[in-house]
Amino acid sequence: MKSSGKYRLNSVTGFASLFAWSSKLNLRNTVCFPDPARIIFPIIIVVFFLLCNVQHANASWLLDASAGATYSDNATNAANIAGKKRDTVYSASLAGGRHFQVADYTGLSLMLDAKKEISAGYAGLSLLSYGISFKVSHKAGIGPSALRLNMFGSVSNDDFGDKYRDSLSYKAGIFGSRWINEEVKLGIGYEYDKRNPLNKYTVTSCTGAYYATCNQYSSPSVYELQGHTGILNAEVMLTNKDILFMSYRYRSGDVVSVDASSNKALNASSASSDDEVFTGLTAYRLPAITHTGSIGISHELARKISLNFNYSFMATMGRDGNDYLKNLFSIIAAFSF
Amino acid sequence: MARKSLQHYWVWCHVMVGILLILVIGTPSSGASSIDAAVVDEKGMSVANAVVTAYPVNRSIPPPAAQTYTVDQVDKEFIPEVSVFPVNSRVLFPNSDRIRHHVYSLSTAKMFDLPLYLGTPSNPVIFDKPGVVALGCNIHDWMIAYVYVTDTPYYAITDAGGKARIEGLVDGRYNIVVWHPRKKDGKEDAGPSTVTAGETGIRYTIKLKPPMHIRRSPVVRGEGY
Repeated sequence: MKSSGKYRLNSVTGFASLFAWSSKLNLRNTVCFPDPARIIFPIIIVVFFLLCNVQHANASWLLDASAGATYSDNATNAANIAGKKRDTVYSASLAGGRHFQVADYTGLSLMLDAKKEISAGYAGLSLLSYGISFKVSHKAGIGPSALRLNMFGSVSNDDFGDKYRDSLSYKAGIFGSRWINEEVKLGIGYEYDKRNPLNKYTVTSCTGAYYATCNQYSSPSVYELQGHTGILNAEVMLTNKDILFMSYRYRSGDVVSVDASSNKALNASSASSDDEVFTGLTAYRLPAITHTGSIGISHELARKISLNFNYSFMATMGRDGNDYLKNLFSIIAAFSF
Repeated sequence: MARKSLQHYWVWCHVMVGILLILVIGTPSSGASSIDAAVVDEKGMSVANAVVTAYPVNRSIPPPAAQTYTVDQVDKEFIPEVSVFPVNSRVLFPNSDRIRHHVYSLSTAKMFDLPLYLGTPSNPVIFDKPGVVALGCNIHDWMIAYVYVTDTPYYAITDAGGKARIEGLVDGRYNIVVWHPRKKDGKEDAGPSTVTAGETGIRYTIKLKPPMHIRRSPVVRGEGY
């Protein structure tokens, strides 16, 4: 990894170097109409980094890390058996930043996030993601039973090495939670998500040097997605070390279903393209409602380390009956400083 | 004759020294007695951080000497987790972390709130009523500690081996009270409720609730990809 001198700062030089290096990588594909976000993103990262580095008497360092594996029985989100593919993704993530307790009941966390995912079955699904996130936390009173409100947002550059999938992802939302007694914590929230493909301008041009490699039958915006999600969470302390957690998520928005070609899916889709990862299949962007139910156990291994098991069942109702089901199993070890 | 007088003199000397020793060591008002107690749970496991207090039977309780004590905050934890202080004690809550804490209590025995601070607050908190005071930090919900405020000067906390020694007792009978943060409410202790100062090997079996407090380690949901 090359280090860029102009981004060199005192303590976490690696982060700045990584972002500078990555932004150069992305810019190499830009021909005429680069997405403005691709240029602004590295600047945001650096500004964010400078904010994190502010010497502040009320600031504390944050460091979260996790590693795990997730198995999916329908990695393609396919409705038809011919399109369903199983896969396991191994992931590792690291997030570091500062927490500023700006008032007695209000705090602000700024984090730099990095994540690596490796797909066991499909190299094209492997991902390097990096970005920033913030959280404003407000507690409406004193004690664990007081309502805690979190407003959060994040931006990440998801690099699959795939001209369709490479994206900037945005999330923002609000989440409230409180302990209703010594053992049960309930939460409710809303999240907005948006995925903006990085190459939507360059892929569509289909002119000049890019004409030969451009797929004229593909829409570059198939991975241009957004959705609104309502969230209900519950955590139940089973023992001093074990927490049972359950959640229900209702999402209304776009999904991508990679499936065998069909008129049913084509007519319902708002965009489609041949898929480069799952050759022979077609990626369809569909408006859909997704219900996700999750249940899991979190076991404390040490004061700052936990092992988390989760099962999720997703039922997606796509437009015009393009429905699919999906089961996910995950095991994740997590550390929080 | 002179030799006989000298013998009498030595006998008297021995008698007087003996009487003096009895007076110094053996009298009930010497104040040197103690009570040794062990606290175990229903499985016979040693219970640390149990508070053992002794109340004189049919005698007035001497007022405990109020002093200044500290409960520290280190690496986002209270140190110690359980304290016992005499009533009217002044307690300082120094913050040894480099970040700010917000210490509070919602307990009826003492409600207070020390908004965000670094270092040591200049004004101590005065615990003027006996009872149990649960402490928390409003920033870090997992930070919990307990202060047991007692109106007797005779108290001790069990060590990791579940043993406690109450010292400085006047001879006589004492009612013993055992408390622990996880002790089940309304459950009678198995053990003598009244003991005599100087007794050792006293054993109390208490019924404990399962340990249950807010965890510090993260809960992570794998919500798919």
